[in-house]
Amino acid sequence: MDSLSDRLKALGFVPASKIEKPAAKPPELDFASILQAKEITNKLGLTYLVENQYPSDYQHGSINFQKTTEIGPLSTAARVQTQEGTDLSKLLFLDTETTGLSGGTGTLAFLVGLGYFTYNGFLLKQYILKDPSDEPALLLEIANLCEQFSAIVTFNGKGFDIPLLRTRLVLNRMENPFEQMAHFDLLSLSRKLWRNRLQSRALQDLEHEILDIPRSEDEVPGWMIPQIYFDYLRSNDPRPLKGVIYHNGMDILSLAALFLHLSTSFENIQNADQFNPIDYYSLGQLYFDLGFKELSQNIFIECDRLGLLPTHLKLSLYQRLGEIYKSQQKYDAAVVFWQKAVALEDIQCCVEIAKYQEHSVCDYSAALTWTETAITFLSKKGYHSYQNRKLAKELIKRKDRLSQKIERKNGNVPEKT
Amino acid sequence: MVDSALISLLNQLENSPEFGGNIPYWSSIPAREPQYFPFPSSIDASLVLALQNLGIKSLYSHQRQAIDLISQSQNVVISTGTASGKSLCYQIPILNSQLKTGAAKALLLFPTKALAYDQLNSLQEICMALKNGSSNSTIPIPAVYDGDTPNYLRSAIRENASILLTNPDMLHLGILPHHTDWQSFFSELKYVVIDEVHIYRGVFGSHVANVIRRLKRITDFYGSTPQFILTSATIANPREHAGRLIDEPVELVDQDGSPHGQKYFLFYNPPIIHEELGVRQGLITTTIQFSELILKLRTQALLFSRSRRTVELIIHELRKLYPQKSELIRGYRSGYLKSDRREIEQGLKSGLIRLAVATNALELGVDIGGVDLVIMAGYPGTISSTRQRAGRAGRKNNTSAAVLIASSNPLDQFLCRHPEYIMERNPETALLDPDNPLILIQHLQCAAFEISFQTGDSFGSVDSSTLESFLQVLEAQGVLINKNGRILWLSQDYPSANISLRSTATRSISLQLVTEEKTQIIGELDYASSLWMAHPGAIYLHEGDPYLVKSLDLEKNIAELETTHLPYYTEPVKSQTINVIQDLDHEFSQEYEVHFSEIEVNTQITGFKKIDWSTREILSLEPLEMPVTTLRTFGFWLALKNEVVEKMRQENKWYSDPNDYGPTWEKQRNLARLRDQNRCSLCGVAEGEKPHHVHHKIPFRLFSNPIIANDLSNLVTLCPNCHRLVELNVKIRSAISGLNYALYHLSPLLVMCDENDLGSFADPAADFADKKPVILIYDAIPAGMGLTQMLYKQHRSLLINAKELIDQCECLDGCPSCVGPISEAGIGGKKETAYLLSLLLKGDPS
Repeated sequence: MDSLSDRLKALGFVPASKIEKPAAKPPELDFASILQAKEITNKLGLTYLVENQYPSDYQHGSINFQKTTEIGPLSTAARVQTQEGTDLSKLLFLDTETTGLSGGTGTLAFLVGLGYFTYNGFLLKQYILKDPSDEPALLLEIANLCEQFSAIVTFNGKGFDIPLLRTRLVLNRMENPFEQMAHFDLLSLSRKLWRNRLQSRALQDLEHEILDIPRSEDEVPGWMIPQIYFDYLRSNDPRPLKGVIYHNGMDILSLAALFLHLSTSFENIQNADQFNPIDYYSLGQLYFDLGFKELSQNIFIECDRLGLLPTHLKLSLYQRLGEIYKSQQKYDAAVVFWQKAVALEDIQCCVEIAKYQEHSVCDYSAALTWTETAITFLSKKGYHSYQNRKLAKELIKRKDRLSQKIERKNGNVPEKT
Repeated sequence: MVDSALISLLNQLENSPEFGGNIPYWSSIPAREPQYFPFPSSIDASLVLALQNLGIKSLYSHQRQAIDLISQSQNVVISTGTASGKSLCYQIPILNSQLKTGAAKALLLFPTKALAYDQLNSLQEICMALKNGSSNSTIPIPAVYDGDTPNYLRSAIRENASILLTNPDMLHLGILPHHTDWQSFFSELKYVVIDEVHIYRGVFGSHVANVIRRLKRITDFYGSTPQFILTSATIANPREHAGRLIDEPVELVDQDGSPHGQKYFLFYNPPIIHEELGVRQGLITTTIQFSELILKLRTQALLFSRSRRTVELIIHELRKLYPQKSELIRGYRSGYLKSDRREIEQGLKSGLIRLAVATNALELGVDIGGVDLVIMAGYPGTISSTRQRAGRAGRKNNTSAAVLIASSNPLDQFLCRHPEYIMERNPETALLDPDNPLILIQHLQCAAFEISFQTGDSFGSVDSSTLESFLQVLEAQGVLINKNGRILWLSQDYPSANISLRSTATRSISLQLVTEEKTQIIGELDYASSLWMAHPGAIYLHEGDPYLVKSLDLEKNIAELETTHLPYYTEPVKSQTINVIQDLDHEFSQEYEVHFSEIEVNTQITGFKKIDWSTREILSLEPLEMPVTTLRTFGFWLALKNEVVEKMRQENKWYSDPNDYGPTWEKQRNLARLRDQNRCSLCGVAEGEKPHHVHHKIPFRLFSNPIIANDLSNLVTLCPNCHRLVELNVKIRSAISGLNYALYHLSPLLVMCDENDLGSFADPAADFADKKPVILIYDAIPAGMGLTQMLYKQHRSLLINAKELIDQCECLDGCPSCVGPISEAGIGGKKETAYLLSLLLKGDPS
């Protein structure tokens, strides 16, 4: 009788995933001393902690941790409700390293990094699983730590870290401490703020583009991290985990730096010159979407005054300002911006002016001229897309209607009966 | 009066010279009175009121029996007829329990999405009536959660639904691997309903049984122990089958207390139109004749056809014949828009549609009321689906009828002569094997992903030491790791995404339909099936529609198809060898020995035949070179004893010996090669080192005088390759190949499976049986499903059925309905096969 493994092979079994076997076992290596971690014991077992204190004037890229900030404006922009009295010291910065990105119950958070501001600087605490069976102790440490804070700060934590930790807590039959806490997920805010300027809004790209933070050669790329941990579990060689701890630590520090940067930015929205012009325009968009109409209008007017935007954003700016003034029924102001947009060959604003001329001024000839301008612009663009063909039909309809109105006005065509 | 129209139609059938003579069986089942019982006193008054407002004044006996058993916390399987009100059996206990406790969640599994939505409507109707009739604030909330559920609704459903309707695939793929999101649902889970469990047989059933094992591990984790309520069509073993599916004992409710009117059941066997070939009038022609009768009278009928293509064909023909009635005729099959389907269902209920032509899409559950007449064009493949389809006839207490039109398939013909199989007892046993190692190991990965294993754990009925050996294999593969007795998933993969509940294969070929505009995936085949079903040049049938396979790329795992209207279909030519790995059981009689063994089937596709759709004529033979596949499985085989073979020889009925070509052979052979200039007469290739073969045009065995057989006019030179193809073409029907054909085609009657779930093999001198002649039938999936083990136990019935089939067949010397179509050499093998069977069954009283 052959073994089960041979039998399965004969039946054609191919496992869902394949791995490369790690190299031969290295000599006994001490987990704690190699990772400079200390053993923490609590009622659910033991776990390992790597702790680092950064001084209060720590300089992380372009950001100095001494910077103080009032978090109210950021909370408003991020639509986060915080408890009264929440300040920087009540925030817990969090990032996890996991065994996969697929979600579901089979993914483990083997490293949870936490950081917070103290009176003498920034404290970084990274809890790591020497053995997956230590998970309850690790989760308990985190839950206990959470009690001192009223909000967590993450980068994509809403979509990933927090649901994953929640799953781990449920699997270990533990209460979820995050439910009581406010949550700043800086990913969505960063997306909004830098959507017009940066191709990628991943944390590491923001580090590079905005915060000017370099990473050292200890850095390991994120996609390698699950495999590094799998290899460690099979080989018991903790050395490669040092890179993961570095990666996670940098993520937490950058998260804190990003928070400081964002928070001070939102505090100073009146000072346009502190911002990149494109970001300032994006800020206007953000407040517009949040319903702060006056604030966004002021920002847009300032953007127009400075005149530093690239053409495609200028066009959006004119359209928006036109739209805002139209909604306030300030047509004269609206027409100014529509005309600026028309100078950039914008069809939609031609149509807006035509509508204004037709319905408000009742100058059909002027309306006809604007419609014809729109048709000319469109013919330059071509009729390849469905939208353009649809638009062309609408414009021709409008043109015909205006011509008829003019004819009727001139008394050449009788009214339809 | 609807009744009278149906009766006059039946009279016309019986008395018409055209139809009357072709009805081998006609039965009338008298009307049945309902057996009413009151609602049990434990049912909440608001629920009783709501049901009464919906017209449900009392319960049928089986409903009451089921509800009582459920209230005693028993697992129950309800196996009663179509439209007997099976849903109420679980709806009432679930709703009652939720109304009374405000908790008690229920999970309802349906084999199709359409059934889940149909059931959702029914539950919503009751909940609406509850809302109108009571001030109770905890009205149950039913919701469907499947692949079509929009994302924005999902979390609300997870949190609020008290009755969750879904399918096993969604449970496997989307719910169990995220069970922590369902914490409150699983913690309060009290009922699990599995509808139509007869569908969960074979590979699909074995997967679902493992999904249930995973579900139970999870409910265990959350501290709940749900009770199971199952429904089934009538099969031979509902209780055993349901028990195997959920790994727990189950009580059976099968005494149907619902009423029905008088029912007629008719078999119609189309007349033979070609005596010699045994060819009967085709199904479509016959079906259209029937439809004409229906349209003349004021009856409403449902016509079941086997493929989507024939549905369209029949509709097309009928509308051409009756343009003024085309409004009354509608098709119904998968692929129609949802809104069209709802419209047709409504049309059937209201009577606007008089004739619906449907595939099996209308067989399960979906509410259409009930029609006067059901016609089945061809045996649906299993007795339980025949009964389910027939059960669609009968509205309230009206008279109804079902007609089964037989095709020339041996099973159809056998059933025409043995209607008792359909009318009385159902011999079909639903089989599944949750412990099939290939299926089990796939679900162990999912289970480890869901909740890590601990040393000493078991998995359903898989004991801890067996489980440990499986987990060790997975550990060696690197997807699991054992750390201090905790066995964890150790991979970035999401294992259920790679596992389909509908197959055992871990490697699959995607079928891509290539048109000018786009490339679209229309299906998947496992690797082994792709070699014989989707080889280059094959006509691949997908839901009844033919496609031509342009290419099969085994590196990229892609077969490219295009739509086709070619007049032929294809049949692969296989060469097979069998190794017996170990003999597991055997039985000897005077005449034969029969074995049940673990075997290895090595198959190579060496060519394929193109066969004309209408005449079944072989148009050509094309060589192919495909890789050898090895299937490790189980099979039962029958070896003939020498005495039997000797008797066959004496009676001159044994064609399976090697030929002795007589004294003139050597000379004649060389003359033939010389005449043909040492070239193959077919492909023209010249001889190499070895001489070409010389082939007898009329098989040697058919001559009594070898000298005449070896006459030059009967000889032709062929290269080995062409020779092999030609031989396949004119192979003479021997007794063993005839028996093989009959046994293979009759097997599904006993084990409830598709023909494709089995394979067969015949060898006049099998190496594994000391050169004895052998017929072997095997499970066609790796490690088997227990089908042939069951056949092994029932081999005697199988032989008796085969003998009756062949003895009673009206053909002259073999036809597709008994020992297989007559070969081109003009020899059918019917007499020989019948004689062999009489020898094998000697001493049998029947």
